[in-house]
Amino acid sequence: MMGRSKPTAGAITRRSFFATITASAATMVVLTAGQSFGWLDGVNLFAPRKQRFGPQDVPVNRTAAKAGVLTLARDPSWVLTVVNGSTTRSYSRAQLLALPQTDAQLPITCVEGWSTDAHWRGVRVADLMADVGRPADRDVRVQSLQPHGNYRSTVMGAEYVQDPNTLVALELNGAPLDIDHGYPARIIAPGRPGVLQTKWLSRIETI
Amino acid sequence: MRTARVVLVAVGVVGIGFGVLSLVQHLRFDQVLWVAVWLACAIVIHDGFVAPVVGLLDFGLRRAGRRLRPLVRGVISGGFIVGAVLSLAVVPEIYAQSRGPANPTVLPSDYGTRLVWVWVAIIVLVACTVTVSAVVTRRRAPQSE
Repeated sequence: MMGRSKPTAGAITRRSFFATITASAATMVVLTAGQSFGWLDGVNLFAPRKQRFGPQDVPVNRTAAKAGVLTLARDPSWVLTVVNGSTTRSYSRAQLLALPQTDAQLPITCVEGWSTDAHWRGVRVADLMADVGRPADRDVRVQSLQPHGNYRSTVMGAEYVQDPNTLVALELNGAPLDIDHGYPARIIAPGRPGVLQTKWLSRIETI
Repeated sequence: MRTARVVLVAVGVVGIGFGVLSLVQHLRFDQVLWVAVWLACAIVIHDGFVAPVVGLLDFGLRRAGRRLRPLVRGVISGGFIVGAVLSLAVVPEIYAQSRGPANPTVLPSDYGTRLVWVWVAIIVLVACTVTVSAVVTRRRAPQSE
């Protein structure tokens, strides 16, 4: 900007300009990045989220009440419907819990900028889909109980479906899923943004 | 130097082009309009408020600090800018908090009190630096600037 003009007396020098920019950016990062990086949690003064602050030590973006699923999610007759072509299977929560369970340490990483690691336990999506005869290279559509919202129905690529860490999660950090974390069952998969970790599952289907 | 400038400008132009393209590809027309309004507001706030205030402060600091060494002046204005940048991010948080967050895990902290303490820390840090610098200058030979 002022590269060509002659520096006036007392004007800010290039060195102090860069020093100030660096100090501002560093201060801002150090005092907010703790919402994503655990080792900076102690100096997380200004981030809008706090790691491990929320039900079951995980923050919440959309609550069950806001999503309008309180009644549907608590309905004792809830089942997860798994579909491949003309083959359909339904599982109650008790039936899902009776299947082989897998543990996974995976973060919820929100596009808003925060992320928190958590311990999940549930049934492998690949196993559920294999039981209805889905070919391993097919994508699936995941549907939530949510009556509205942009992410009530999302597509999960075959590479995620086949990942052994992709689960229909039933437990979070050693306890049954909180309703705000997607009870009775939710998706948790590695490397996907939080909005695609579908909560309050209702249906998974091969497409 | 010239090559570096050309490369930097080219990278900037490509970046802006990509941004504009993404904007029109992913947003509806009314959303693009709101982005334009937001950008216009940013300019108005910067040129109408931030720049005059910083200019006045700079003027005051230069008048008051004619005898201050450039390093001291730099530390004082630097401290102010660091605090101001933080405040620019935190004040909207306090406003959003007063409107009521979407759920209890959003904006859970007492940001106002923390901001005050950080300003206190900045002032203390700047004061210490200025004092140390003054002592060091005095101890050195009486050679003037």
